[in-house]
Amino acid sequence: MANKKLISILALCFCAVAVAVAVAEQRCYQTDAESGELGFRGEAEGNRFSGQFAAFTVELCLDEADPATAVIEVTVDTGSASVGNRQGDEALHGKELFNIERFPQARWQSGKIEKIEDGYLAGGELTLRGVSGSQPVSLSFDLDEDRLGLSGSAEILRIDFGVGEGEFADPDFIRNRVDLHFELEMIRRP
Amino acid sequence: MSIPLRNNEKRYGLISQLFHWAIVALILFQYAWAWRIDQVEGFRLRLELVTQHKTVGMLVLILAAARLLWRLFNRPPPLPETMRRWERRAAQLGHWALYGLMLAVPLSGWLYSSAAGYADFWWGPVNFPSLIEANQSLEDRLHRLHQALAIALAAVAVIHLLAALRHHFINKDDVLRRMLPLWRTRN
Repeated sequence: MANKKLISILALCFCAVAVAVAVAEQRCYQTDAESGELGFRGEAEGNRFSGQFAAFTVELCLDEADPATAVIEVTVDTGSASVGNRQGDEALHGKELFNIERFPQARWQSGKIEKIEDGYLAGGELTLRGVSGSQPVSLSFDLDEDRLGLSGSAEILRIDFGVGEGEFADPDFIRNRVDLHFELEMIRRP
Repeated sequence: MSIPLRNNEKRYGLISQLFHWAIVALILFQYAWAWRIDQVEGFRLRLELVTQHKTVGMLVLILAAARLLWRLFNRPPPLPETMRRWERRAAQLGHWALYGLMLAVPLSGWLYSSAAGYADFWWGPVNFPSLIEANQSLEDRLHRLHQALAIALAAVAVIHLLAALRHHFINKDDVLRRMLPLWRTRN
């Protein structure tokens, strides 16, 4: 009897240790515009343009054994977007495009992540200008002890999110597809 | 008698005349577009006009450089003997000022566009590189410089026009006619 009880207690202990180990494998990282780059490319009147976000945060937790377990949340200050010229930035921040006064932030929350040929493909939900919709993102991980390199890209169809009213609604003027790209150096959170 | 390709003692040849009148037309277009850019409402139309203005400006720059080269190898007809010394000096100075400004105005525009961060915007397939990094205070200064040079060019061009009219109507010489595509010269 006593033996059985002891075995149960030992088994419970092992379970607890196993759970503790499993929890310990979960690692979280974070970064912002200081050590990462989040940019976009588009076309206006057939001319390519590119821009950057100067303020954003990225938080990521994963089981180090498998990047596909990652849970990622990205928050971007829409008012920090710049295409490198004054009139363009004014238009981008204005009511007809990002409308930064009403929608100061955009958010992306990852969903299911799958391993694909040369990296990972993350499903997820993007909330931009008050509109939420499905937005896949290609990812590539570079895992180290205390840092995580995360890079990737996404093709955003801006009109699906209502980015572009008035003269900006015409995809012949500003192309609908905007190519987002990022390269982040993430630091492990204690 | 058709117009010869090269300049001769009496008149400007076809190539010099083409350079002269094509650049006149393009520069007039540039002033009209600069005015429209200031008036226009809406981002799209403004961007379109600026892009056209820049592309035509580059065409003026290329034509002016080619014209200058052509002039070095094909001297213009001599000024009439009747002109006084100060008139000759003034004519020479005026023409070199026109050449200098024909090059300086588009160059300052190219720099202005580069500083403004609009280097990627050109009409058509040709792309010109950005000359300097985007920089807002430089952008403002280059904008003022571009405007000042354009006003100077307009002023010298008006003097040039008045001088040509004076030659024709007051001095009654061939100076204006020799830049016109006339098939016969006055005897």
